[in-house]
Amino acid sequence: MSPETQYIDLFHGQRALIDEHSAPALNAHRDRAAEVLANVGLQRGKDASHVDPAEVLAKDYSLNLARYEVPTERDDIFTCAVPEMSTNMHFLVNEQYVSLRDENRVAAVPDGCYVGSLREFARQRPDVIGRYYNQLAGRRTDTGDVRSKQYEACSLGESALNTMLCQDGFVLYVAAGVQMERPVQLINLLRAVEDFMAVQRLLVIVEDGAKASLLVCDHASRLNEEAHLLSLQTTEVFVGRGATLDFYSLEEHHDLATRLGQLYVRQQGASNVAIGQYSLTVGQTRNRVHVELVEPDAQLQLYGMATLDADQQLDNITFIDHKAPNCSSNELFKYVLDDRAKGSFLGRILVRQGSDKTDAHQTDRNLCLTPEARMVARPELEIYADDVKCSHGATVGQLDQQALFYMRTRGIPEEEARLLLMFAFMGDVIDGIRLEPLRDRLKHLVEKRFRGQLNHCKGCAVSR
Amino acid sequence: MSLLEIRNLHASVAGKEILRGIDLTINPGEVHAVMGPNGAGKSTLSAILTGNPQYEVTEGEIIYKGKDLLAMKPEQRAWEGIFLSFQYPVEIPGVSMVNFMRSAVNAQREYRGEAALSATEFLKLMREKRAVVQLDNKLANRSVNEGFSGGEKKRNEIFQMAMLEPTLSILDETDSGLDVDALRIVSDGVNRLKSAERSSIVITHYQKLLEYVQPQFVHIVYKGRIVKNGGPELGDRIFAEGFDWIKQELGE
Ligand SMILES: Nc1ncnc2c1ncn2[C@@H]1O[C@H](COP(=O)(O)OP(=O)(O)OP(=O)(O)O)[C@@H](O)[C@H]1O
Ligand SMILES: [Mg+2]
Repeated sequence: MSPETQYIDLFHGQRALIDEHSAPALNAHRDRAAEVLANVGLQRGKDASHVDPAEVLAKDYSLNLARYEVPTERDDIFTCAVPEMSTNMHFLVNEQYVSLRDENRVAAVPDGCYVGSLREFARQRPDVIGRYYNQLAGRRTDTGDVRSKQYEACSLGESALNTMLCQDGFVLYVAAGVQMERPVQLINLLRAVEDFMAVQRLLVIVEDGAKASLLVCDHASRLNEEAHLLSLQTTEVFVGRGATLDFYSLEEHHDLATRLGQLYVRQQGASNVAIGQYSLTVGQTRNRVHVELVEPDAQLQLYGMATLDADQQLDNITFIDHKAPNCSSNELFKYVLDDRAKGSFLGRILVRQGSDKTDAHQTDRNLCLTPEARMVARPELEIYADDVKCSHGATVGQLDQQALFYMRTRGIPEEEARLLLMFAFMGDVIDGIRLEPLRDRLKHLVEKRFRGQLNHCKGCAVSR
Repeated sequence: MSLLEIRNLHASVAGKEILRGIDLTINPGEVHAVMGPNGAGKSTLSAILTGNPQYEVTEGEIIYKGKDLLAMKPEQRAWEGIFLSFQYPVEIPGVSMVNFMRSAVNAQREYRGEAALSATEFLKLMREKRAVVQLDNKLANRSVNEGFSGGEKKRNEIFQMAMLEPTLSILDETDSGLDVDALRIVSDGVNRLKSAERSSIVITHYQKLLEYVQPQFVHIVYKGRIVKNGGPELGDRIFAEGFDWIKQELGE
């Protein structure tokens, strides 16, 4: 039996239980999602990525549809935030929103806004959910060309599976005009003693003229040396006219953890969005990012960084769709791959007809430290508009041997010299972070990562 | 005891033999000039002395401070006091001069069993040495050699030399591309380091630098061998007549 059928059968069998522990506004989307999943299936597409969702999902994961409370000790919920960054911390343990009774940790939410459980929000505000939920993840867009369709199809099945089974998750809802100065931090913790799949759903809505920043940290605990953990994570982000959002995602998974992430972003006129995907350690991760700039004057900065070693595998598959004139997108991805790590960057930019005066730039640079490390870089830029400024470039290289020797002649030990070069390589992609405390923290983490001092599986390095 | 002794050194790069039997002895406190036509193998010699992994020693030995130099890693040679001012200094985008120098100085101190310098001590040292070669503060705040002019790069080499205070410094055409003032500043930097223990090898095509640093010995390298040894008068003759007479003496 194919994994799709297996999960669809599970859904039909457990429908009542799933609905009972969720909210009507979420339940309303399940049947349609099951249909999409049956039709589209789990596709890797004809691309050169490494992580195959069908293969990942063929494994027999258990789910927590009855929403048993996951025993979580005080120590598992991390003790302090990034210094000066945020006291505004929220937690998902697997897919469940865990409310902290500790008032000091959760800042007051401005009037008309919401930060917290998706299930609760769907019960309180079905109107808002109706307007946004599954509006990006649940449909095929109107791109005519075959390549774009392939890009879309390779996340559609996974998102449909998510919508079919999802019961809870996290919502950040910022009402029009509200400036949330303090960053919100969400910690996603995978926690199970057996093979387990967490169906995580995130919804971020920043209405017209509003402003917010969100840092999502993905972690996997290691309670059992054999348990494989999967996070099936679908995120929808809506950014209104003149609104600003900084959205950073930091992953620290271990070798038995898999992440299938799909991030959908819709930007309206004159909105300003910065997205940063920082993969410090992964097991197997496949990140899909799909950003649409649907109205004029929107600005996007999409940055990604990966430090991979051992047998880690990471795919970043990005699709930036310029649908309106006068928008700009600036995309930069950098990988350092050690040992037998495998990475891919498949980046597509489409500048549609009429999207004149688009400014779109894509850069992908990679360092392979060993001959066994493998990197696939596929930049794609397709332009159907006039008077545009577009560029793209990708490189895969090694550390600069001349620079290495030069440093060693000054007495810098080889290991240290390599480290300085790797760190220098990551400079711009870290400096692009607009949240200063996060930028400083990440510098420190990346350095620790390169020194092999980053604890792969325990706790939140951002918060320590 | 001599500081450096090179015996019958043969070396090749990319399978091609470049050095074909170099013999050279340097005692503490001596300044040696090395001259020779383009492509003779002068920079190859400095690459071998500093342990550039691109070059392969096929025969011979080098004894430095009584130890087998060829057995040492490049960084170890630096800790033991060998410094090369590169003919073509390398740009390292993204690595700041400050981090670069701090790593270098502290690695050397660690090797000598000294404590790492505090941030304040280190910056003070930087300031002091920068003044010696009049290296602009702007340059010291940039990435290593990135966007430096040719002359600025050379000045930066001497700045690094001043920071590390080497026992054996090798200057590979540090004078080329320098304006008159810079040449004097660089030479001053070299002369300041002179002592009874320290020695230098100065590779050059020009007279001016030799006037400033006053070598006691001059060696002519040609086709991978030292074909003539002499005192300052040998240098003067080269500047006056070129290398043709030497080639003739060799029967070419
Ligand atoms: N990495 C290399 N690969 C191939 N050939 C090399 C390499 N390095 C040096 N050579 C060759 O070795 C020979 C000696 O070069 P070297 O740089 O030592 O000369 P030099 O005496 O320093 O000359 P110059 O006065 O021009 O600096 C030249 O023929 C050069 O082309
Ligand atoms: Mg040379």
